[in-house]
Amino acid sequence: MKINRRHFLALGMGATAGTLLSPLPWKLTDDASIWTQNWAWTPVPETGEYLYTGGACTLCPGGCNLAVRKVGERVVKIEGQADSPVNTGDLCGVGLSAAQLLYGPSRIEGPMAREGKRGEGKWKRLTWEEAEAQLAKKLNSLSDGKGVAALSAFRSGSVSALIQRLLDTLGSDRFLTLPSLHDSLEQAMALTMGRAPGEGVGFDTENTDLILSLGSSVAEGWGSPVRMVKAAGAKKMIQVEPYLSTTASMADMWVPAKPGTEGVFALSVAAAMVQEKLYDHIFVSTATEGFPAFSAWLLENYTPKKAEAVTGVPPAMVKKVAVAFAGARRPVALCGRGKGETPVSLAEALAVFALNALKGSVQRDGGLVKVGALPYAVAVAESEAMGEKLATLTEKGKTELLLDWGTNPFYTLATSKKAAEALASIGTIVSFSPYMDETAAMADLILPDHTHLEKMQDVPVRAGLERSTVTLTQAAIAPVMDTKHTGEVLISVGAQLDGGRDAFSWDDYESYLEESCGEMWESLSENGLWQGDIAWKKGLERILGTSQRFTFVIPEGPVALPAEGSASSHPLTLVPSWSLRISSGAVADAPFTMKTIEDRVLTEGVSHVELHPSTARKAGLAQGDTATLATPFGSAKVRVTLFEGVMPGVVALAAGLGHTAFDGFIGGKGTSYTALSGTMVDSATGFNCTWGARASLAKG
Amino acid sequence: MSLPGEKQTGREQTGSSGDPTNKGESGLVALFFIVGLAASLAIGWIVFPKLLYSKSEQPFDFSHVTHADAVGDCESCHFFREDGTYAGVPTLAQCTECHEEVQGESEAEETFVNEYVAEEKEVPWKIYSRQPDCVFFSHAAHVTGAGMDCAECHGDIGESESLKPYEENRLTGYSRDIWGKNIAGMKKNSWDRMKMEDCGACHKETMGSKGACFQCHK
Amino acid sequence: MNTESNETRAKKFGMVIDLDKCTGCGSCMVACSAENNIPVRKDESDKLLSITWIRVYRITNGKDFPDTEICYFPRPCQHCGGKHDDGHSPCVSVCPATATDYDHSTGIVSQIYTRCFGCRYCMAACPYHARYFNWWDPVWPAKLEESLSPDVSPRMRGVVEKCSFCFHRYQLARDKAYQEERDVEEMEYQTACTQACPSGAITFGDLNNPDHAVYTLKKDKRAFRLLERLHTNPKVYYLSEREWVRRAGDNYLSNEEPTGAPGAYELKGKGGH
Repeated sequence: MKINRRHFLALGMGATAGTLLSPLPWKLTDDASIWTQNWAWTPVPETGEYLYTGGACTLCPGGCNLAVRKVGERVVKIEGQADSPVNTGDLCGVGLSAAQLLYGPSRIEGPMAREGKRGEGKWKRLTWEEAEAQLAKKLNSLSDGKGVAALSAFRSGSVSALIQRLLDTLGSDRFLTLPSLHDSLEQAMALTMGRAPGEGVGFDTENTDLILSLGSSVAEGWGSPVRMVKAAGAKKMIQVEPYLSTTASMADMWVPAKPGTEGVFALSVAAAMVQEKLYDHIFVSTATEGFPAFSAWLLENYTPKKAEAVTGVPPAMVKKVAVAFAGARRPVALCGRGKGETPVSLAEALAVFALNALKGSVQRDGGLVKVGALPYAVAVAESEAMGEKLATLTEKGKTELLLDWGTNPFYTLATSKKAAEALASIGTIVSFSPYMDETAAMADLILPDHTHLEKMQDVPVRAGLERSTVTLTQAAIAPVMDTKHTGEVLISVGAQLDGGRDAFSWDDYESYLEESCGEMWESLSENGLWQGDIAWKKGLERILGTSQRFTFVIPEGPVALPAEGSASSHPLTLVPSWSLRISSGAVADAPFTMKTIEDRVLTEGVSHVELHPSTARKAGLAQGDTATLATPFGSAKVRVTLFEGVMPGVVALAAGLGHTAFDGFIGGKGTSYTALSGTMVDSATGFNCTWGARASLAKG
Repeated sequence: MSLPGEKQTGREQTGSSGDPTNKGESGLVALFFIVGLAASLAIGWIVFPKLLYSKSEQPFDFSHVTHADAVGDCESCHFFREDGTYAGVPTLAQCTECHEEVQGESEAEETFVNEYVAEEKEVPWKIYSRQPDCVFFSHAAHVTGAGMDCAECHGDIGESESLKPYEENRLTGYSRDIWGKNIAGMKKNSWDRMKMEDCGACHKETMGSKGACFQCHK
Repeated sequence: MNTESNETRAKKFGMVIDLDKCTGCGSCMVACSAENNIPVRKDESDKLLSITWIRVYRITNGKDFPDTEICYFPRPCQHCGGKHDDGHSPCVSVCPATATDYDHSTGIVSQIYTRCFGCRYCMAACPYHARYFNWWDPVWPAKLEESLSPDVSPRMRGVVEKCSFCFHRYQLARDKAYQEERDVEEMEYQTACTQACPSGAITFGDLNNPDHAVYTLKKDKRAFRLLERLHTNPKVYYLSEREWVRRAGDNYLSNEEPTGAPGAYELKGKGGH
């Protein structure tokens, strides 16, 4: 008997039949298909109990309240707090994406000291004791206390008070904040309505029926963004600016005035109201002073016809605006270009005050209102001559040591190559940033703060709300990195200063916080928010009718600031364009927000400039061309996007891009408008009120 | 021997099965067939499941009976949160409510208290009924909404004195209980399998439709 | 495809977006991304690769300065019901894997990511570009994985994904309703984009339920749907006072006359076929 091939065939057939009769092939097929669907590296988010904690956003001055959604011990989503009077449950994209900043690659792991050259990115990790001792040692060994300057994210509040206390101990008066529209408005208020320290300016947009916006990005982030976006969707608007922004497009009327001339336009509207006797006679005659001289000055210099030469707006249109403004029941005029992150000239602020006063829209529902000072128990003294002091930061050799708490001056104040160089020449730079921003990247010592989702801290809101407001950030989560509350660090470092032991005698920040918030603490700790009364509706002033006293002031300085440079070398005008999708402040966008940036604004890491087809034709440029955008302050490679909504002769560049630090998701994207914008100093205040710059655009 | 010749022989032989001279040989062929059949059946039914699943023990033993006697029902430990989500396997904090100190004499409890309670470490239970991440399952819909018993899907786990070894499919990473103990996928009881077909069949029967993707997928 | 109804009274969830209120701020896109574990890339400016379940498009009226106007078009998945609203959506009808189907009980075009094998036929079929393909495995840098929500399963390389009308929120709302033995209220099931929208431009609810705001809004004079002429029967309605915006919604040629009937902005006479 021989075993041959047939036997093997039989064996094979048997095996095949047996296999088919066993579950093996069917089960394996099923499992294999499941295997292809479940890659081991696809994350499986852990589940757990769902929990919402409160909080407040600090990514812009808007003062929105947060509802932080947690699953177990993880933060998975940021939402707006439904019962917040500021943002009523809604939130902008930047605020929404904060969880990505919290866990993102831009976070600084812990306290670090520079190793190697400045900005090289080589760091030595320190313990907190070492880091604090290093800072105390540096501060104690300053040659002159005046050489130290500190930039604070807020003008008031518990941490700001500690920073100022630290400076006081060292003998420096250089407590600085990033200047904004509100610095100009407050000075104008002091002149026209009187102002006690700490008082601010608000706009009661909820109760207004017409917003006359002088270049303000009502729909794109001016003031408290959520609140203003609601206003943009609901209120009648007249928008004055040279670029068809979303606000301009949503407005009932778009007035394309030449760049930087919005203040002059406001005066021409005021003049038209006087000319046509459209102003509120009763209010002007009973509650104001200085009208005769002011109106004479207006009619002499700013009649619609005369203003046309500056603004390019035909007199008929000015009159139309004047009629609409005067005809509305409770109109309000706003100013501050873009998001209001840059001051306007004092003269321009005064013009807007005057315009509102002519209609009686001051200190009443729907108008421009005085906002009460915040009743902090530990107050911050207002810095005198802040404009000049800020300017010295960007002058070489004026600053020995700079402390930065949340303002990122290497991005926000680096308005030219020269300014950036001056900042880089500061002796010692200390950053408290939780993120590796441009300033932290250039720092000598980083003492990273918690993010706003990891700490409890008061947030004084200075965003044009009609009443004084403070919100409270809350620790939704234990610190993700080895960070420490800057308030805590300041108390510890302050006590280590020569003569600082008594000035910083608190046990910890938390007890200090409660003490410093004074009467606001109860409401803050309970509701995450404190709001004062509407100042003008309060008490004696209202009864006596003195709350509405207004003085018309003829401004001394220029209304429209001229741009540096010559028309021959720089024939175009660069203006910024604003978007809620792009954070233009100290902290950059998170990856999710980068997703929302349109490909007509940014592609492959290159910013686009928008210009009218006729402007492009003159410059020999076509859609998609690469070009060099140059201003007297710097230059950058950009791409050309044609847009009919840009005034001919104007080039628009999205503000807020061009971060160089952070991480690969955020940094290295596009061009910083700020770096090209230069300075336009208002002689009346010393603030840089730049609205744009002369520019040239050449192919290649 | 040429190949075509052999082919021819083969054909002839199959054509003449009644030929007595080939009887012994065909018996042998059948034997080979049977050997192959038997071997592969054995592999498919016995060896394959052993190879497919890896076995591991739970961190320590646990008696549902003892606990059910002590607390009374399933819901005391496996409860719904206020928002209607199902809490699942108790967290350490829940267990610690009773087990701050060793209460009984079991070795398992000692392990639990010493290694987990004292160290504040969550117990890494291996969950027999864990569905893959793409599955959404609402306990509220089934238990509260449809009034189903835990046992309808989970069987008699509530009456177990000790925990059976956890078997994990080496290919898919799923617990063996999803496909079911029976390697052929046969089920006698409603809780024997937890595959999509099983969900679908029950939905079809009780609700008239299997439902769309999102009914059970996220 | 499943054609039976799950419950006695079928719901039809839908959205009404007021384009006159939309400021294009992008909150909806971010809220959606955070809610649904949308992957991020280092370069999000390549919109062919960037995944955004709801994308806000921008259109202009094409007029010259200073008569130019812009309008933003937020575009989630339109959850098409098909010509006779019978679930014959463009994408569902072409999927060879039954990885996407039409839910007759909610009107939502649902899907199973793990079932998709990435043929992208649905993407070709979708007239709204609402579907996105994962060309790479998503990478969550640093600790970003910590921020992933357990409500939505992260997708893998090689599958198509799209807006789900935040169906998991419906599931969660239902869980709570079961617990409290009641029905889901209108405001309990709202998509993440609706919730985040600062200008209140998005309204969401059951188009079949007369008590829901969308029921009334969809019949508004200003209402229209995108590419109505394709008879895809979308569940996303748009509102605009502006004639040019409504025309753009259906790619009208300059010489065409729309009828302007509410909710059915169709051509007179000739159909779109």
